[in-house]
Amino acid sequence: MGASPFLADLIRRVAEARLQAAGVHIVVIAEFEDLEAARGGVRELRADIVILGGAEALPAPIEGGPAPMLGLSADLTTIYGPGKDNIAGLTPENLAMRLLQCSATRRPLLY
Amino acid sequence: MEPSAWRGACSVPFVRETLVVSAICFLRQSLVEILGRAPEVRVSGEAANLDRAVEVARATRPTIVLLDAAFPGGTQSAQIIGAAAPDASLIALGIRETEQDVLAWAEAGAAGYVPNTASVDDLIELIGQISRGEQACPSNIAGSLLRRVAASRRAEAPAPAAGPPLTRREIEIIGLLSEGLSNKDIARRLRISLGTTKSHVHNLLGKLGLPRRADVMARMGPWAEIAPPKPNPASRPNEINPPSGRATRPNEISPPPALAALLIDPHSTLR
Repeated sequence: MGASPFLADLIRRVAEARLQAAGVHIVVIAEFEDLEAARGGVRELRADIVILGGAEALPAPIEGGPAPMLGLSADLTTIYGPGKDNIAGLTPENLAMRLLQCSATRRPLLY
Repeated sequence: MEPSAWRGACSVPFVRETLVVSAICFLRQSLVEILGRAPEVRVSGEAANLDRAVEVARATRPTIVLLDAAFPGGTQSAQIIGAAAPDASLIALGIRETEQDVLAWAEAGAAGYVPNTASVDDLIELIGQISRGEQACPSNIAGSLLRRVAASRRAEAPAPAAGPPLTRREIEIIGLLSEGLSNKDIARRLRISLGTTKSHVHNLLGKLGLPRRADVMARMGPWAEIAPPKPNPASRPNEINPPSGRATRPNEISPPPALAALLIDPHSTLR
């Protein structure tokens, strides 16, 4: 939610540098500023990972979207997921580690 | 040759020592990492709070301070950090590109800004532009900045003379008072009655807001001494006297502002 192009670009860059070594390539395929717009996009774009901004807990999977969810708190201090009790401070390292855990999928979707 | 032209000719990137200031760990660490890969930027330090920012700014003397617009204290923090790094260009990162926000940051001393719609590549390019004194911005923002500068200049201009205007006779009396003449001497010099002289002096002191005649000399200072009015028997009390001698005297000392306005446009004061 409310993903700015700048934040999306920042996430892609810091994740890319860390995931390349593991043979994982990350591509931000879309950014959405509201959840309603994202619902259709998740199904259409077949995203592999969904990162939800403005989250206060692990986001529930979007209906019809098989992708695992990661949540970022609005103040960008906390990352939620994957998994219910997986909560940590948001740092480039923690973000990359969680994206790696989701690496069975192939493409992230930011919104 | 302009520094930028020299840099271009030599193909050597000009490295900008950059201090990254953000309370958000992810943003700060990410920026340090990404900017650290850019050849034209060298991250000289990072800070998560104001005290640390001031400390690092003083120690590393950066040429660029990249300040997260969401930093606690906002524009006030920008002023404090700017004071600690007076040679640095402060860049507000991630501001909403509205007239209100841009003006607020400009007034806080920001040399430029990066809107929250920019990409990281944009950021690096903008750092270069801003450090060269450039800033791309929408026309409505540019218009607002111009209007603000114009309003600021108007505010700095000398205020027009306040209060009731002085008559030519009262201006003459200022000169005579500055010579230390008594009311009786003034009356004799101007060939008017003592009662009329007292009335003029009383009105003059009232208009100038001065309690005593001795204060006139102190208020007028050397200006009053330069051109004491000559007795002019032919003049009438309300006659307009053009400011011919005042404006062209080579050694003239500027009069006090309130009276300067009077002399610049004496006709209006005497209508």
